[in-house]
Amino acid sequence: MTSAHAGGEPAYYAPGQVPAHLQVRSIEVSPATVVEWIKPEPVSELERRCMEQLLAGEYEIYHEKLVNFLAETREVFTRSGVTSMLRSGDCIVAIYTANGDLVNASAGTYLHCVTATLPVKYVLHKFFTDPSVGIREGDIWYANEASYGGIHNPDQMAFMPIFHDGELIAWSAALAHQPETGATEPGGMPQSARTRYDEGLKITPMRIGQDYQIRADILEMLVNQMGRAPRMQAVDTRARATGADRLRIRIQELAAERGNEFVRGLLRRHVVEAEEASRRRISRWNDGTYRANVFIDTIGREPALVRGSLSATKRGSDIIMDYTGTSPENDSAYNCFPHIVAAHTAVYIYAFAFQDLPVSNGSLAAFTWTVPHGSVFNAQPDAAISNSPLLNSLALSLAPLVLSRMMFASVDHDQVAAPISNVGAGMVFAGPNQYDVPVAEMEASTMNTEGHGARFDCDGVDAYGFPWGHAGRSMDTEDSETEYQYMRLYFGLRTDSGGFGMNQGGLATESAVCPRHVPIMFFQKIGKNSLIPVSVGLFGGYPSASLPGIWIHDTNLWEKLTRGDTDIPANTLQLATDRAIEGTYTFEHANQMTRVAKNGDVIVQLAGGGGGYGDVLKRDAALVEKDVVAGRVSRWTAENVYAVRFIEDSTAVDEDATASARAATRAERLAHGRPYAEFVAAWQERRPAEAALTYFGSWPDGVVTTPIVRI
Amino acid sequence: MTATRLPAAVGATINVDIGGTFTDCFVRAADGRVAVVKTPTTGYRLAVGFMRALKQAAAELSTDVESLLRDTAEIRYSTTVAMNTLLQRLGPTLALITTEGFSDVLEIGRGASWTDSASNDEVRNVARIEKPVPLVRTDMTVGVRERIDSFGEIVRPLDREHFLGQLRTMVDKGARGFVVSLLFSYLNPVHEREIRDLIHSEYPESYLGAMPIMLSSDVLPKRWEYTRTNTTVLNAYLHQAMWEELAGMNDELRDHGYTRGIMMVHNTGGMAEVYRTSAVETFNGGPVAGLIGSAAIGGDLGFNNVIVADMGGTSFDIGMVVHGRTRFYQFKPVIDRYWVDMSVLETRSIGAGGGSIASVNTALGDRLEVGPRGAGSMPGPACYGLGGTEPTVTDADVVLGYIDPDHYFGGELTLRRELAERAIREHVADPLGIDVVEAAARIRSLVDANMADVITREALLRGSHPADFTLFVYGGAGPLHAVGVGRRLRSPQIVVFPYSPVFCAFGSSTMPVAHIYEISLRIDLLAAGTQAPLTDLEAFNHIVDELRARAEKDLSGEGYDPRLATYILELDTKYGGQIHSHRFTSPVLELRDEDDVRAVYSQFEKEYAAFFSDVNVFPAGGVEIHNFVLRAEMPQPEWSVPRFPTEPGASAEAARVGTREAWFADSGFVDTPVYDREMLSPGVRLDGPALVRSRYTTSVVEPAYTLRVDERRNLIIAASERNPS
Repeated sequence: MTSAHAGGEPAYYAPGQVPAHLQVRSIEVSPATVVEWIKPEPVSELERRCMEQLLAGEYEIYHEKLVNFLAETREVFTRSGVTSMLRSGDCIVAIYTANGDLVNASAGTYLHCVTATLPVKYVLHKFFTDPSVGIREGDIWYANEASYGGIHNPDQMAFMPIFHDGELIAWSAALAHQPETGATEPGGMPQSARTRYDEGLKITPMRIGQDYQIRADILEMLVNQMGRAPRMQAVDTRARATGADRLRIRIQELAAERGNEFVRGLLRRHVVEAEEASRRRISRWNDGTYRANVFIDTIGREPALVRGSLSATKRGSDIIMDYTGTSPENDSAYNCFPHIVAAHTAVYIYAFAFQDLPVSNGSLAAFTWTVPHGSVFNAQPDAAISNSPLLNSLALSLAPLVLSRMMFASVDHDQVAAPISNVGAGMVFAGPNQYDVPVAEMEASTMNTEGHGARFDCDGVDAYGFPWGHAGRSMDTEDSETEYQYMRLYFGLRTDSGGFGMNQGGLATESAVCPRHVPIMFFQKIGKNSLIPVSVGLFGGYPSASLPGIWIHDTNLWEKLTRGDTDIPANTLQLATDRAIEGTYTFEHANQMTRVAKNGDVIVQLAGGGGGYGDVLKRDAALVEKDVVAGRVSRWTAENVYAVRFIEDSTAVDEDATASARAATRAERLAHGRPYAEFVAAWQERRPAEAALTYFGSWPDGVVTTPIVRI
Repeated sequence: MTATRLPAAVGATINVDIGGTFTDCFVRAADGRVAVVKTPTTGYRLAVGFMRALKQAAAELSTDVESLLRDTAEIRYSTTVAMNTLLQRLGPTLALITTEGFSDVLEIGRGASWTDSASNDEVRNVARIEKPVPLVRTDMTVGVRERIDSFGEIVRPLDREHFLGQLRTMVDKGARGFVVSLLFSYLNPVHEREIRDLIHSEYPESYLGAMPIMLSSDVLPKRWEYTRTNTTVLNAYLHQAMWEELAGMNDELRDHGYTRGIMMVHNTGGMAEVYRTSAVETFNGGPVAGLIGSAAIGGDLGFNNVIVADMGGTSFDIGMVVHGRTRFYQFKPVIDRYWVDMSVLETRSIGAGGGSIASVNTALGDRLEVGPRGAGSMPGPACYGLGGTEPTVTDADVVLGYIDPDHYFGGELTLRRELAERAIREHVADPLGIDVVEAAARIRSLVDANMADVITREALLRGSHPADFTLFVYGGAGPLHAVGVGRRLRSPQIVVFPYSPVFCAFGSSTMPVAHIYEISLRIDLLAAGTQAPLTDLEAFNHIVDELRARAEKDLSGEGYDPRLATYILELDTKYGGQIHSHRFTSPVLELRDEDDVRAVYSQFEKEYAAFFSDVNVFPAGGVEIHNFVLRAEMPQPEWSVPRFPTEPGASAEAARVGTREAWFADSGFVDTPVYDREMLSPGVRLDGPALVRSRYTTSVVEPAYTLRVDERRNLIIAASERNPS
């Protein structure tokens, strides 16, 4: 054992000599296995003693103190960063025990409450026993490599060991997504990537600073890797380090006030308490196996049918999440690793089932993740995974479908809701802006205004936020247009976009973006739901509306505006049906590969609505009338989906006629009814078109049929 | 309450703060005496309570209302009428006119508007979220055909005919007022003004039913349409109700012979004539007045760094004076649930008051929690005996002996200790397996710690440490918890004022006449990449001149000489590409040369680094100014809090009115002397434990703390020298 600290913690330990309270469970590290580190480390004897020393009443007080530390840190971090994804809330600041368990976090997205834990544990596991590296006071570590626990490489994370009196007592971290990675396409999520080697910079957990300073040479290297957005890399690397450092200072002050043992006890108790609380919560749900299947219709570069399957078995206070049946991995960037699936499940869990429980990996201790090797959820290490969040729309929809059913007959019934839309409708764009500054950014206004799922007792919320980070905010039109090289033609709520049902999913937004002030603009669009929706309904509710990709190029838009023409479209329906703008119209999948748009082109962006809940025929006709008046629902939908009838041409509901229409619809449904066995037999005869099954795996089991070889 | 003598001031002022429950009045008479009055607010007509307070104040000054008003130079006034109107949704039916294609601006609300003013617990509970309901009905919002771009250029001309058709529809549907908020109108208001002219031409003011028209470019010529539209809608929504209340007040005062100005306290930290005040500027005026008053008293006492803590029944509001400066603006001002973008002085509020409910969270392993739920005034704490069964902070204070159940609120309310004990036993002590007293002590300790943590966070976010601040406390529960909070902050001293019960009204007596003018325009101070300094100095100077001209016009209109005003320029500035700007005070009002540009940048960098970190300073990314804020402030007449002769070695015995058993951490219950605050002479010192009783609160002096009464009759509490905290 060699010490680099005078009288304190050694910078590294000989193998087998790491004290218990600094140990991380030994695993064979691979992208498939780091998910095991989500489970908290065993409580060491030292930590047990420290917890016992906490005085009655102190824990509550210092819990609040930690919450305030995190709030302060996040505010500093958010205000000092550049990336627009800070506005979306794709960020986290977090505090960990000395051996890497997440104690608590202030999270824009709960994704990183899972994934940002794992690189910390990796550093402890790998480098604490490596004399050439070690862990020292003043270190600034950095990572964005998903193989060691991240989501994808746009998510860059700074983390710092916290020493006091020479002892390692905790870790702090700050992470934010940035839409540039130096990949083959701008924006950090290349649609054309086929292997990890197409995805740009991937930083394995490494020390980028020492003595509380970022090393200039390393920063220069990072900036150099981000030629499309060097300013963003320079500022945001600093911002992440600033965030982690602010938290480090607060914890050191706490240790100075109360001692290292107090800090250790306080932090570990958070993790222990989180596990106990989550197990109590799970215990009150009905045991059983709950199943769901959902689909996405793209692998980025081309339309494809990909299935996500979940069979969740709940016994006592444990849940096994088994994803067998999920489609096999493919040669696109729509793959991921098991911890990424867990992270997306956490986005739902911490906001619904565990909305009042601590954001700690202790809360997830009750979950076991069974993810078949070779599936899109457990791909080979050389797979491209930069679009793993888009793939994980599957996980985002599967979680509410199974857990809502699990909670339905419990005291947690008020958390039951249909899936939130998770189309992820963003437009990545790049090129010089109107001030001639090169930018590579995400126009995320539609992404941050998707529809909320319908609830058991009421509708979902319109344009609720960001499905990966819930409280994310969109930019005002004036804000976007002041910063970037485009003008919006419209930005509004989209009629009929919410999933229909007894309770209706929240509406989504729509926008059309037109490059302005610059001759050209590179853009790439991410999206799904063009062919089959992933945010489906619950208990008979409809899924949200489908979303085409629309691009008009070589237009006469500016002339029309200058002339003050009266037929300029104010929404997508008018744009697509009236075609008053001259130009070449392209209707395609919403996911669009990188291309060049000219000044005056029109690029349509559509967000998704939330899933509906319950039978449409049970919806109060008065609510349908209200929606029609407000333009939220079209008259066609009111009549043909909700079976509502109006008094002549008015918007007033004809109650008698509605009752008759609904009775007729029910009778029609009954006429279609058949015995279950008969239904199953007929259903199994059905099969999607062969072209849709290219990436599905075998039909119907989704098993690997064509092994992937990447070079 | 008693009238006392003040040094002669320049004219008398009447300062009134009308809250939801009480109307507070602080009168500084022309001869220097003051009167302090607290009367119930008369919600049905505020002028009634106002005049009642005035009558009592006049009586305390041995005069009548007419005489008092005759000698009064100015009436200063803050009110919650705007908030009450909003809470009851009593505003008129409005029509909102937006740019076509963007009429859902309020419904979209930048996405997660459900987080605006929501607590952390509410934000986490995504299953139960609700967005704020717009104050304009969806079917009363229209989009007009027009478009202006981000450089203020007209992209699409206004379609007048189309708009006139929409106008008639809106009027037919019952519009009683119009809000016009078009994209980029802050850069080019031409279309908003055309629309106003069109409405006027169709519905001239001479006709019955003329309707107010508010342009966003007039109300708040600042960037970003969601907040600008919210602000303009709120202003229109509250305008009529505010005006009716103020007119009622005005009529009453004129009937009693008053002929001079009525000034409204603004949440920006200044005040202006009623006729030059917009409704949204009156929100939160009371707490802001308290903050300004604290800065004034701090200056008088020689404290430059002050934390102001107002702990009432339901909330704990804090404000900060740093280096004598109060101008910290809210990062994200939200009125009710509507995000606005005004320069509202920062006062933070958390749900921690005497009425905050304590509970045991069984989901989290029997964790004790206090707040944010409160018992409100009805049923109130369990000890009120009005039906409340859940334990509150006030119940804990009763059980621990700090509050005298027989002398609560000046004896107007008798509390029932046994009900407090029962509530704590059932809801906290038994679930935790501890006795009632220990449970009460934990409740108190937790709420004190929570308050201290919030103060600490706010201080740290301003680059300061709470131990460098004097703690000023007021509000009914403030002095009860002052030492508990101050000990955790390591406050060098804690100050409780004689005017604490009416502190916001007192604060307005110290406020200057001040206006704030804001406008958005992007100007690159340093260019991205090259860091070349701004060369078009005229662009910068023109904006400042424009703002200054508006200030001079308003001040002249109020009868002041604008040449005597102090002008302070603040700039919302950021490094290129950053999301959030940082406001700082420009060292110059005018840019004459490159040195001035560099001086402005240097000041920005200095303040930015102090707030965030040196690590983030990044001029290579460019430096952009986005908002200009000009504050015009008239000089205040000199004044100070009255001083009284002190008696060195004065005894507190004369003020001792008995003893009461009170609980302290190291000793448990001990017989604790109780003193009457009014009877404590300047110069008195006493060691804790002690309780100092006044009409509306009790100051707790814990063991190892010493209280002294200074020459201004302030109570100064600090750790005893022999027992430093």
